[in-house]
Amino acid sequence: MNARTLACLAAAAAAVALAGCSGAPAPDRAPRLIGNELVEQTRGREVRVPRGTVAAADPRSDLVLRFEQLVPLDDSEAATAAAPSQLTEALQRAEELLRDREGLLQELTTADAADDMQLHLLHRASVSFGRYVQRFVVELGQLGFTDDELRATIQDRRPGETSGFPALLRMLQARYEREQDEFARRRRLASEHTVTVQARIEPQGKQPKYLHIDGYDQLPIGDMQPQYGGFLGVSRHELASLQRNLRTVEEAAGVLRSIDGLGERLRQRIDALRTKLRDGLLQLAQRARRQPASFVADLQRAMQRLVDDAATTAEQKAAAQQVLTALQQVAGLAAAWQELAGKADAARTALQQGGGRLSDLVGAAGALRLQAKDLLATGNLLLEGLPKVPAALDQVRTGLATTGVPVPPELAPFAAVLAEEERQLLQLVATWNALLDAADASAAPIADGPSRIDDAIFLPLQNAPEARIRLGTTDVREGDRVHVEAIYQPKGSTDRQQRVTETWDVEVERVGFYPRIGAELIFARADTGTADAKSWKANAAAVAELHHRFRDPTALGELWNVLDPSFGVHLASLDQGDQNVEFGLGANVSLFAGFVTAGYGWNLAASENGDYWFVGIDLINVLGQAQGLLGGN
Amino acid sequence: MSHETGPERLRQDLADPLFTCYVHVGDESDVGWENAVFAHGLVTQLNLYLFADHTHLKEWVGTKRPKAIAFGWTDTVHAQLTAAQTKDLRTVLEAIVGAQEET
Repeated sequence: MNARTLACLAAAAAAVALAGCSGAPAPDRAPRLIGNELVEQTRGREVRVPRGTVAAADPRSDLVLRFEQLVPLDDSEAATAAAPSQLTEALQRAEELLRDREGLLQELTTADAADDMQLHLLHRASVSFGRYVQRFVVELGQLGFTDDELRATIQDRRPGETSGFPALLRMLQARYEREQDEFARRRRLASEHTVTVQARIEPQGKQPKYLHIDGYDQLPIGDMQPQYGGFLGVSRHELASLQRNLRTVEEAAGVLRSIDGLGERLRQRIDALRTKLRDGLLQLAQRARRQPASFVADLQRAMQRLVDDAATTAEQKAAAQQVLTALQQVAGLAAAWQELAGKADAARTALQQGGGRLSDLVGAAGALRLQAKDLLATGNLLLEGLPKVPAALDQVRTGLATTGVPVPPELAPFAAVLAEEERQLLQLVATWNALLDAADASAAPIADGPSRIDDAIFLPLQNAPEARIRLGTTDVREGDRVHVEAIYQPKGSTDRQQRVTETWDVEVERVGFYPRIGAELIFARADTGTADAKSWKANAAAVAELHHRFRDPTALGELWNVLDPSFGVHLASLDQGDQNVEFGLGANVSLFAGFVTAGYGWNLAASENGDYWFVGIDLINVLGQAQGLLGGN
Repeated sequence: MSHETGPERLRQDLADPLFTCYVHVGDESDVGWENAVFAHGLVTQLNLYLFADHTHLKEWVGTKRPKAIAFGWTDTVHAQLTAAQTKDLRTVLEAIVGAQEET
């Protein structure tokens, strides 16, 4: 090997190192979680928002949730994930390293130890190569390989292998194949899932509100709604809900109108039955030359006399008792029919009054249904007794025959007519029962209140755009908590049980250096001058302060954040001399985010002895927070 | 790879300008030794030695008792590593490559 060859080799190794590994350990080479990542974007920087803790977010920043490639459905899947492309690069790099190493070793076997130049170049090549190896090992660590895994490749060396690279290549290849399978699985999952993103602000002492997210809702930018999916006027979801409710109401109204029609027929049947009973009784009364009511009463009295008469035979007594009982049944049923007819009339009247307007019908739906059910319950009771009417009349007829009282010949056909009426009535009531069940079923959502609204807008996960929450355009304030949720569910599924949710929480607070301007109630006194000037007097001051807060504080930083000291300048209204208008200018320091302030300044209206001290309190902020905590707006 | 326990071979190889040397003191089951073997499989122009104790290393480290010694292209000691340092793969690699960088 000559010096020129070595020089080329060294240069090549250096070039490979520069091309392949320059910047390799930089943060952007770190394996990213496959799937979504919430970041806080402010001017010129981007900070990842960790899950499982409450991170700080600047009120002027954007919270951005990205679905870069796929979704990890749980944290364990994301823990060691690396994109196959990164592993491919590592594999290529390992192959290059193996080739370069073999080249160097080849040069080494023919190297002349006495040739200083050759030695120097060979040393340089080895050093370049060694640095390249170092970066490669770091890169392997960033890909998720542990030192134990790397050391384990020693045992995986095969006979004849003088280098560790073949074993590393096998390790990378095995990981690559596993990752590719996993990658394919996740891609399949992504194609089978949809996602939506919601962000909710939880202001101190107030109701939570949802924030606008581009692409995931129709809220105007900067607007916030107490319910998700709302926009000016009626929300899309509310419209959908109303539409569903309207359909339900229409179906219920249809059923109720059918019931009304049926009620009319029932009413007619009952009327006919009543008429026939009245006519039958009238005929019986006419035969006895009595009024119908007195005829029944007389008949009852006659039967009672037979029962009470000691001369009456036992058979006659039993027959008379039978007639009495049958007459009581008929009389009772007649009264019940009367009642049923009255209820049917009332129900129909209610339905007809409400049927003219849908809103009235909806409003009356529950009441009308209850009326119909009550009517039916009465009818059912009546029906239980109805089969007994012909039998009762038959008993009257046979009983009278036994007692020797003449039996009106109309009684038998009358009983037959009643039996036919009863059959038709039973059919009507059965139909009515079915309709009422249908009305109950169709009107159930109304009776149970508004139907549950699935208000999330799900987008295909594969094409899901980034979700950007612009805190600066909303009404978030320092101290507010913003809760961000990414909700995944299988395509086409509405089953909430199948949803997987990832959440992030941030607390809105200023970080880094930032100015703050406020108005304070101050108590100021002159440092020198008259006794009046040196007395403490309440006044107001405009204060401009410079604050600094640490984003990821250490223990001391945390203390600093709690104390939140600041310094600034102020312009104060004063009352220390005889002038009508006095104001001072000076410097001040504050603690606890400006809660308490102390300052020193100069009364610009005073010709001498104008210096003063003051202590102040951020009264407006304190009152505002107190009002918020007390539930005020 | 040499696993010499005696100082003669080490002394001889330290005189070879084509190789640097790395000595681990301890046992083959040491994580530090495994790190050294791993590094040896990757970098070039490196000889590796395992010594059971410091008995034969006094001429290079005196009374010090490092867990590992990284030599440069000559018999100059470039770095002496503690037991904790040898357990860190990257520190071992840095010691080896850093020794090669030293002219």
